[in-house]
Amino acid sequence: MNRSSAPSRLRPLAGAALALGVAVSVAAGASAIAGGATDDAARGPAAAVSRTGPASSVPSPAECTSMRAVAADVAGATSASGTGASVHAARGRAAALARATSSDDVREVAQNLADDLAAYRVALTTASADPGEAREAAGRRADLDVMIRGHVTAMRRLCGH
Amino acid sequence: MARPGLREHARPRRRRGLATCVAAALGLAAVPLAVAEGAVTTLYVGGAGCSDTGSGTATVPYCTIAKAAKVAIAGQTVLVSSGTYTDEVFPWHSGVSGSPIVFRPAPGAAVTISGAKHGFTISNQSWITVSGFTIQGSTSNGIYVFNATGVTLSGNTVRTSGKRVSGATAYGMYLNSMTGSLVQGNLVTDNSASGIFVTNGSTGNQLLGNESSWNAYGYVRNAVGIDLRAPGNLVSGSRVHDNEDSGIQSYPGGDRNTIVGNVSYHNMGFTTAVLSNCSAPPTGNTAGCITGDHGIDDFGVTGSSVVGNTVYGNVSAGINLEGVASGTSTGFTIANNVAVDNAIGCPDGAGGTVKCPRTRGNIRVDSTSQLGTQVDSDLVNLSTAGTMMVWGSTSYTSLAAFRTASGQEPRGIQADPRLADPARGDFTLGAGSPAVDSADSGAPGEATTDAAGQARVDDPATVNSGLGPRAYDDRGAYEYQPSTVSQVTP
Repeated sequence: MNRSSAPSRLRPLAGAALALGVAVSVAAGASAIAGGATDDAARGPAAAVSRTGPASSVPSPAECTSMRAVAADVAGATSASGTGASVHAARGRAAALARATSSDDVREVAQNLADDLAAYRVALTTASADPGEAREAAGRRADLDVMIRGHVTAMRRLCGH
Repeated sequence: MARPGLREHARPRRRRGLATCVAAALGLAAVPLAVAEGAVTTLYVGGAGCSDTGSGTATVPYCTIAKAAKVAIAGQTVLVSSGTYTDEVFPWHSGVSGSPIVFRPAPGAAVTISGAKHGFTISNQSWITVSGFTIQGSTSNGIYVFNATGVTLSGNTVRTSGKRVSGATAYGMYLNSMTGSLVQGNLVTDNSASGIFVTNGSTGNQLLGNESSWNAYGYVRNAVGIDLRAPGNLVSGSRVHDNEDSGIQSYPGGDRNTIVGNVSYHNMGFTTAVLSNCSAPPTGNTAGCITGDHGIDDFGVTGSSVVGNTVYGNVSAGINLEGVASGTSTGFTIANNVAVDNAIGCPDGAGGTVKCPRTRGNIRVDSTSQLGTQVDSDLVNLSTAGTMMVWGSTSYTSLAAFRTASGQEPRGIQADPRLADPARGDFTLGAGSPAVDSADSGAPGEATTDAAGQARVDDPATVNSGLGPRAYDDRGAYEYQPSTVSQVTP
């Protein structure tokens, strides 16, 4: 059984409405909403607007530019010549992108990248003279490197590459 | 005037204060909308005669959960009839403390959300409760939370999120900037990334009694049962097993977490399904890279407690602490755990790893993580000869040797804990177990109840040798329940 239809997200509408300061419609629609079971038509068109609005999943052109820059940073930081400082810097850029974006998808992939870069940096900078520990760190770094490359790939896909 | 069948839907009598309306109009504050006195408290979804242009009553329910999520406000409960839905459920409003917006199946109903991007997306909305759903086959994370507080996720099953292909993987639950929330009694299984992922400043959350298992990327060892990248959370009473990577891990960002009373076992990867898309060694083995890792892994984090857990039969060191910056005090406590038969062999599917097990020992603290680490009152054992403990760069085959060299574990015990039936996942203690009535109840995070929610019990057949306010707490995740009880904690 499948009773559902496509989700009616109205994300662009929500964003535009809020941008135009149409939040007054929320107050106007409040009495209808209080009934709880009223449909959109009964509440009036503006009442369908979320007070905060679902976020867009689509990255903006500027975010794609930022993601390309982050990807370039990551490529350098995780190369053979990468250092803890360069990984830290790449992580900072990824985290900043995660904080700044309004896209759930961009936020997630940027945050994941930042998280795994943080772990990668630790694995990179806690080199031990003990062969067993060094091997463990290398294995962890290799796994994280695969994850990081996956995040970068996901970023590119978000921007259609 | 009430219509037949709509008695719950009394006329709206909402009276919002002028100041609130003005604030909302100006977008100055996201004041949650709340149910007015006498207004409807229940919205219905699914069933005969449903309509998304209807009113969400019992007689004219909405067809989609998404529709109900769009209109539901604080204090309202959305009851969903049995069926499979393809909605991405995205609440448009917040609840308030004491009056959340609740989503749950109708009494006796079985509700599955299948194939949506996320089953539930709780983004910038707070005081939302999601209980009792099965969410499967989402193309992204099964449940996605961002920037929310007061969220309750309970009794849900979240499985088969994403695909085991790079770029298409997904977590069971992805919790980003979530605070003061409860994640309880969920089954999170067979997802293509970690089961429960906690990140980006999520703090003050309680993850209680969840089961997270069989999660795997499939091409790299990285899916964890519960993955903490954020500080100050409690993980308790969980069962985490058969994951591709560790059962529970705290990674950079995951400082000051309390990992107490969990069972983490058999995180040895999948031994029956050898995948062909593994990355090249040394990431994984040549015939299937899913190899498992630690029971509880703490990497580059400080200030946490790993207390009263049962950690059994994981492929690498059972409880692992490593990667703390050299010279930094870890502030770490490892106590009251039962750690048995970890890192004593590799599963069939892991035989091709470069070195398996990668690390050894029931408890391992690496050379940069010794400063400020306290290890005591644990019970360890190996059923075959092997590495019992690791302290720094040195391995020890017995607890006594470890104690002598490290000065740690003055109250540690090396003995068979008499676990009931580990092969069948029963890690309760048998009569006469040396774990009984011997824990340090003053250890940070030690709970007054065990992983099954049972109170601490003083076994009349065992002389109390514990420390702290109760001298009869048991080591490990489960409190032995004797047939005759002499004392129960209030």
